[in-house]
Order: sequence, then C-alpha cells, then structure tokens
Amino acid sequence: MPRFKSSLLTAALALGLAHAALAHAALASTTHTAPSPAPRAPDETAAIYKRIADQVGPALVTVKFILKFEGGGQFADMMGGDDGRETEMTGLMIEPGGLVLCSNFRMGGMAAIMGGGNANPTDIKILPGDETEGLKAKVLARDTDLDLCWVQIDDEKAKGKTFSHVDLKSSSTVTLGERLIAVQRKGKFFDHAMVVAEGRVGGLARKPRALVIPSGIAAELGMPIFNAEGKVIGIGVLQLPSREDMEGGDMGGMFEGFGGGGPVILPADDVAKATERGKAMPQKEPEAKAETTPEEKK
Amino acid sequence: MRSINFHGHTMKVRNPVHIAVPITLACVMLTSCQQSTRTDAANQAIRIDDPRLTELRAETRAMIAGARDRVFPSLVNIDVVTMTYQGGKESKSLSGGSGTIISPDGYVLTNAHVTDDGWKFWCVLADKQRIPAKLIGEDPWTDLAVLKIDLSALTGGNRDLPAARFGDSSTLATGDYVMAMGSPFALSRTVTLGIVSNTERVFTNPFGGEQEEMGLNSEQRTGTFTNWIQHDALINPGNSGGPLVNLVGEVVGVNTRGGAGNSFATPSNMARQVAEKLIAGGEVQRSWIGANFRHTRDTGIDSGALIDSVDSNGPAFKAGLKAGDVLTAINGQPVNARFVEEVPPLLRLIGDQPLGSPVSLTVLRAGRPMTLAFTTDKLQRDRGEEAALRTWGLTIQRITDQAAKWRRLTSTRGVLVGSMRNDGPAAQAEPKIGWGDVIIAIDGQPTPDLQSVVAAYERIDSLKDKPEYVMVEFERQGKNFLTLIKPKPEDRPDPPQELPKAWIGIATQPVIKNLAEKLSAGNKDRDERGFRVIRVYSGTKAADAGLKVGDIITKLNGDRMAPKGLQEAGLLTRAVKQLSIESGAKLTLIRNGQPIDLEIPLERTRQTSEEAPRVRNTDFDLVVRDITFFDREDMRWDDSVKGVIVDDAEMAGWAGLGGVAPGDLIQRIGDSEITDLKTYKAAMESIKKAEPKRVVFVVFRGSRTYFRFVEPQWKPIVNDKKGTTE
Repeated sequence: MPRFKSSLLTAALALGLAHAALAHAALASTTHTAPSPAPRAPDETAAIYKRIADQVGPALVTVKFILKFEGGGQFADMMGGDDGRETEMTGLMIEPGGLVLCSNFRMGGMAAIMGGGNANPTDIKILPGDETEGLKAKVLARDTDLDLCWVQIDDEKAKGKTFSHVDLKSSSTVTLGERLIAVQRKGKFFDHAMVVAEGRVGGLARKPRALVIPSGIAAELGMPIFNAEGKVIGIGVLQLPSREDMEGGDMGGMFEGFGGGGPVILPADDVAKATERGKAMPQKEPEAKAETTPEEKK
Repeated sequence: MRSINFHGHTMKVRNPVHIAVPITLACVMLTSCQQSTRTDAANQAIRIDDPRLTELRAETRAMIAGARDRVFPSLVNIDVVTMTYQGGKESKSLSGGSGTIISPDGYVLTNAHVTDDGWKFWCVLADKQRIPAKLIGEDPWTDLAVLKIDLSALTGGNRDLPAARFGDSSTLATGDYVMAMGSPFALSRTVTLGIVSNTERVFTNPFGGEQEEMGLNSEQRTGTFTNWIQHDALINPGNSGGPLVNLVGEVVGVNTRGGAGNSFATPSNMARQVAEKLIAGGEVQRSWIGANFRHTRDTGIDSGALIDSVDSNGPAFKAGLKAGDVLTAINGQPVNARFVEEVPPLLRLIGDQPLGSPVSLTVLRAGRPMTLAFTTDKLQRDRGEEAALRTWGLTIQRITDQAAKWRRLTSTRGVLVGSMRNDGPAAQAEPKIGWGDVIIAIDGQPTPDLQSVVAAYERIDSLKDKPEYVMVEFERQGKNFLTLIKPKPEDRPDPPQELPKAWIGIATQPVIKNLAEKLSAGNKDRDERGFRVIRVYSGTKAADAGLKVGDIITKLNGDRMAPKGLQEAGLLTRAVKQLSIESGAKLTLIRNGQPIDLEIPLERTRQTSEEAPRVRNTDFDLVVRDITFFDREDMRWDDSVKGVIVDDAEMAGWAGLGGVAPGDLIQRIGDSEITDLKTYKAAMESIKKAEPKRVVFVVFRGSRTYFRFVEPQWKPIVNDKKGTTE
C-alpha cells in the first residue's frame, strides 16, 4: 500500500479516536463533572507486594505458648501469675530444619522490664502454614540486647520435613529514603491473613548499635523487612536502654523505645551472626521428673 | 462474807457497805460531776485519792481479774493451715483465731469460719505449748465449730486441761459488763472490756428491714438462727472464736463478728447446744421445711409470720404451702414474728424439730385458716465437697440444692467446675472448660456426682498408657458441649539461656565533659572523657590483667569511648559485647593522669540469677537455684560460701511454715551439707525415702545462720472432716 494511504489511515484513526474522545467528553460533561480516568498502567507496587507475600508467606508461622511468670510482681499477677497465660504470635522460619526467629520481648522478655520476676515460655507449639496441629518446639537461646529469641521445632512428626524459610544471609544494605516493605500476619480472628505495608528508610542509627529507623510503617516485632527487590534488610526489634543506661539515669530511652519511636530494624546481617551463636548454644538434656504429689485430696 | 447482786452478777464481798458506799459515791460523782461546783454535794467532791475510791478501784480490779483468771487458762490461740481449691489445684495458706477449752479432755469451742477449709490445726495453750488438734465438727449455720486437742502431745504430765464454764446468756442485759478474750491481729491472750449493747441483735438490710443473709464464705450462708449479743468490748481479726466473758468468769458468748467498734457474739446457750451436738455426732442436724419467713411489721398483718417464699423442692410446698400465707401456729403452738428480732427464734423452732418428724402448720390464706401437715426434711449445707483433678488442671464441687438454685441449674446432676489452671489441659481445650460449667459425662460415661468424676479421673490417671485425649461432656447456661482435654502434669522448664557475649569483669561510670575537665585539672590537652572503672570483679581476667578502680578507659581497640551523657552509660559494655569472646581487647586508659595501653583477654558474660536453673520440690513447696557470680559479688560471699538460694517458698507450704523464706541460702538439710543443686537434690531424695517427722534446714540469711524446723505431711490427705490430721 502506498505510504500516503497508511498515513491517511493513521490520520483517520486519529481523527476517529479524537472524535470518540470528544464525544465521550461531551457525554461525560452532561452526566458528571469528574474527569475520565486515564488508562491504567501496570501496577508495579502490587507486583512487588505479591512477590514478597508469596516469597515470605509460608515462612511466617504461628507460635503458640504459655507464658509463666515467677517471682511475683503486679505485672506478673496481671498476666496470670505462675499459672501462666496462653499467648499466640507470628514467628519467622529462618532455616529449613525448623528454626524460628521470634521477638524476645513477646516471648517473656517483657517481664523483667515491666514488673520484675521471670517469664518463661512453656508448651511451645509452631503451626506452619495452615496447620491446625502444632509441632512441639523449644527455646534454643535468647538475646535480650537484640530482642531476638530462637525456637527450634523438636517434634517426631517434623522429622525429615523441610520448611519454607527466609534466608537472612541473602540480605541487603539500605540507604536513606529507600523503599521498605514490611510483612506481618493478622491474628486468628482474621485467619492469620498476611498484611504487606510500605514505608521508607527514615533514618540510620549507629547507637546503641547499627539500626534502620523506618518511616511510614511500623516494624512488627520479630518480622522481616524487605527492600523493593525482595531482599531482606532486617528484622523488627524493640530497643530499650540497658540496665547500665537506666542506672545512668536514662528513662527517656525507655519511652523512646516503647512509644516515641517504636520498633526499629536490626540489620539482617547482625541477625544472621547472632543466629549462628544461638545455634551453637549447648543444650541441656531435660531431666526425668517424678510427679511428687502427696497431697491429692479426694 | 456476804453475797450481793451487782448488775446481775453475784459477788462475795467482805462488807457490802464497802462496795455500796463507794459505788453510791461513784454514781453521784459520775452523774453530777457537771454540777458539783454549783451544789452542796459539789462542795463535798470526792478526791481522787479518797480511800473509798481507792477501795472501789481495788474491788473492781479484783472483780475483773477474778473473772479473767477463771477463763484465761482455757483460752487458746488457734493456728490453721487451710487448703482451698483454686487455680485448678489445692492451695495452702495460713489463718488463725481464738477458742475456749470447754472440757478437761480437750474439746475447744471456736467459730466455723476459723476452721473453714482447715487442713491442719494447732492450739497454743496458756502455758505456751503448741499442740496439734483435730476438727470434730462444724456448724456453718451458727458459725460454730469444735476441735479436740491431741492430749498425747502435751508435755508436763498433766492431761487434764482447764475448762471454762458456760454462763446463761439469756440473763444478760444491756449495760452488763463483759470481756472479750482472744488473739486480735495474732496478739495472743488479749482482754478487752466493754458492756452489752443489745442482747437480740439481728442484721437487717437497709430496705424493708428484713433479715440480711450473711455468708460464712461466698457459698455458705450463716447467722440465720442467731440473735447476736452486741457489745463494745473491742474485737478485731483474730478474736474470732474467742469467749465473751461476764464478770463472774463465765462464757456467755462466742465472739464472731465485729467492726467499727461494734462487736457481735453468738450467745452461749446456743453455742453450748451446738457444741454438744458436734461432739456427739460431728454435725448438727436440723429440720427444714422449705419456706422463708418475713416479720409482719408494716404489712398490715396483725399477728403470725408472713410466708415470703416456698421452695418447690421442700415438704411444705408439697403439702400445699404458698407464698403469701400467714403462719399462725406450728404444731398448735401460736407463733408471732412482728419484728425482725423474732424471726430467728421462729427459724430455731422449726430447725430444732426432730428430723423427719411430723409437723402441722396452721396458716391463714385469704383470711381463712387451714392446716398443712407433712414431715420435715434435713437442712443441707449450701456448699458441697470439693476435689482437685490436678493433671486436668481443674477443681470440682458437688452441686447442692442451694448451689443449683443460685446458678439456675435444673438439677444437682453432675459436678460444678470451681476453678481451673490457666495453662492447664481444661483451659486449653477447645472449647475450654471453665468456672461454673457442669461436667456430666467423661468418655461417654455419665458422671452424676463428685465420686463418679473422681473415680473416672483416678482410673484414667493411673493408666500406664494414658489416652491422648479424654472426652468431657459439660453444660454451660443450658447448652450441652463436648470437648477434648489432654491430661498432663504441670510443666516448668528452666528459663531460656541468654546468648553468651564478650565481657570485661568490671563495672564503670561514664566520665562526661564536666567531670573529665575536673579530672584533667584544666589541662586542655587531656581529654579524660571515657569510662571510669568503679569496681573490678574478683577472680576475673580483668582483675588478673591489672585493671584498677579509678582507671579511665578512653579507647577500645582504638575506637574512642567518649560518652556524650549519662544516657550512654552502657556504651562501653555494648561495644565489648560486639567483640568475639575468643579475641582480646586493647584498652587505652588513663591512670593517675598517665595514658596506658592494656591488653586484656575477654570472657563470657556471667549467668544472672534470672537465667539460673531451678529445682522445684513439691514435698516442701520450695524452688531453689545455684549461687551465681553476681550473688557472690553482691553478697560479698567468697568461694567458701556454699549452698543453694531459695527462689520461692510457698507461704503455707511446709518449708514456708517452718520459716524458710525466699532469699535464704540453704546450707544444710538434716545431716547433709548442701553445696549446690546436685547435693540438694540428693539430700531431698534421701529425705523423701526416710519420711522423717521433722527436717532441720540450716539457712544463711543476712549476716547469720538460722535453724528452721519443718514438719512436712508425707501421707496423702483424705477429705474427712473428722480427724483431718492424719
């Protein structure tokens, strides 16, 4: 076909489109005043959210346990005393052999801060995915400074199984202003639905240690934070003044840690190093206990 | 010697004139003291040192002392270890009260709320001996109970105990002097003096003036049959069960309630009757007809007693009695309850009818008389027996008729759940079993009563291969549920271990700008900001390396350690923690103004008391742990100090009762020296095999040792109210 004809066709097409657009606009002007929506471009953010949700979702597991308080104190009494209280939260599977990372604060670390005494998690069960039957687990170690607690699945039913996990070693560093994608799960009322949220790197702290300060999102304790490429950059933790800092008079840090600043992000690299030390903790064999109850009353 | 009557009490005096004159004078003085300056009598005002007053005081004192001395030897202080059911298990605690020995062979009268839930009892006698006692019986309706002292435990030879005498409480009058004896706030052998304020007190609610229902505890009514003796001899917690004594030295009441300066005693005539029945048969059996009465004041009814309500389970209902009927006679005997004070006597009249005896009630209905005849039933306790199902984390209770009414249950079938352990199998079941639920079947087998539930529990618990789940059928608010519980004993693992980190065995304070300038004596070339060593822990690598108090650490491995303020007090410690334990550290420090570099090996953070493993012992209700590094440092204990630290001792547990307390360092148990958890466990195992009557704990507390004598209960306890102390 001669070019001029294709040009004509193109022109005709353009004219036609323009006419259609004008007609549409005329129609629109007679029905409502809002401008017609622009054609939709592919949603990059939605794709990022979906990719991360698919990647992380199976690694976000439910951790159920009884938190028992010893040593008294008002907070301990409020939380059930030495009878304990059943608690449920989300943990992050970080190794295929069933190692789960949790927030130490939520696994009992709060006791010493809130009201004295010890709080020990017992009867720990991990529920991966849609499992309703929990797998028994035990605490390997905790790091109060870093707000981390490592829980290892220790159940006959899990022998030989591999679990979906997030590899903390394939992590990335961040720069100020960079996009952050946080993930967490809602509670059981919402059937543990996954939630993805987005923010930015609002700041980079060096003290008390290297930390990423998020802006625009709340870093959930014990939950991973990713960059837009899907690389894990860190874990949400609570950072509070040490006993020495508080003896030095810093109560302001306590308020910042809890309310003012909220959770911050511990770089994945630091979490990975601490994890290696946690795995290397020598474990005590449980003692055989005789149930001595001479006081059964009928 | 002549006898005179003084306020209803007969006294022997040398010459009544010696009493009459001073009393007259005292009365004159008391009644006219305001006018004494204005009248002639005032001109003859009695001087305080007047011999007649002196004699009055002496006689009064003798009178009170005489009455006191008649009863004091019989007064006992009662210590009780109680066992209640809460948190899914038995729970022990301590309580106490007072009592009176009422027979030479050791029967002691006290209140039922003193002995309520009691498991072990001791009576402290006038000669200070503390002797075990057993419960003979309780009558919750009158809040009275009887114990018996174990005569075989008495030392000193004499097995005849001094017994107090009952007086006639019906002769008491308002204004009579009385004494209250007992142990207020555990201050044993205390006497207070007052007068009778009212001899027929009934507690009423503020609206309608009806008799108020009082509770012995949350589930058992009390005081229903009592017209209380109100008096103002001060009583406080601890006086309960103690005697109210007249000036002749007779027991005219049992002090039971009080507050705000008002005291209330159960009359002795009722108390003696109840005590006799408890001693004879272990309980007081009363008749019940199933009707509630109201006095007729403000009702327009001239005489009789108004039937307020009728229990559909009772014999009176079946005979046709209706609420609104006016009771005019019982067995032909006219009855009247115009005022609330007349209601308890009416209830006593019914209660005292022999069980199962025929009764005829004459009532007015719509103005027409009618007679209803029936036989009485037995008045049952409101609160049923309880049991603990430990591995299920539940306590249960028999459902009484009254409990069924209170909780709107259709029958007494099944057992009530009284409490559960928050982390126990019942609380973790889905759906969970909770307070107020009624268990009616286990594994498909009906459990209509307490015995059947306990039998089912024991059978399952004793199986070698226990089932993974037990199915429980229960009712809640009229709905029927099924659930599965997974029986298991209580689990108490050791606390999680903290990750070991690098540590230098010192404590420091931040040296901030102003202090640094002062220390540098104004030398601007010297920047002494850093961390001043304030303590070097003994036996650490820091001590070996030669660090000293006063050194100021300014660099760690070349990194400047300059705190900006007190908020960075932990800066150095955090920096050290990030190093590897295997590596060393190079410290740059200032000592006496001179810079020094010091290489120091690092070591692991020491275990804190929170991380220390614990050992629990349920025979003595004790939790102990090893001594940690920081314990030694804080307490200044060198390595020669050995033992285990008491982390927790249940207050009413056997060790707690013996005086072992949290924080004590147990150094010896019996003949075994305790150096650590291992030796402690070995000692406890050996004691458990021997089951001695008494175990001696030697503990270190503060700056000295203490000997603690513990008497544990080794045998299982049977819930038999008679002879509880097996």
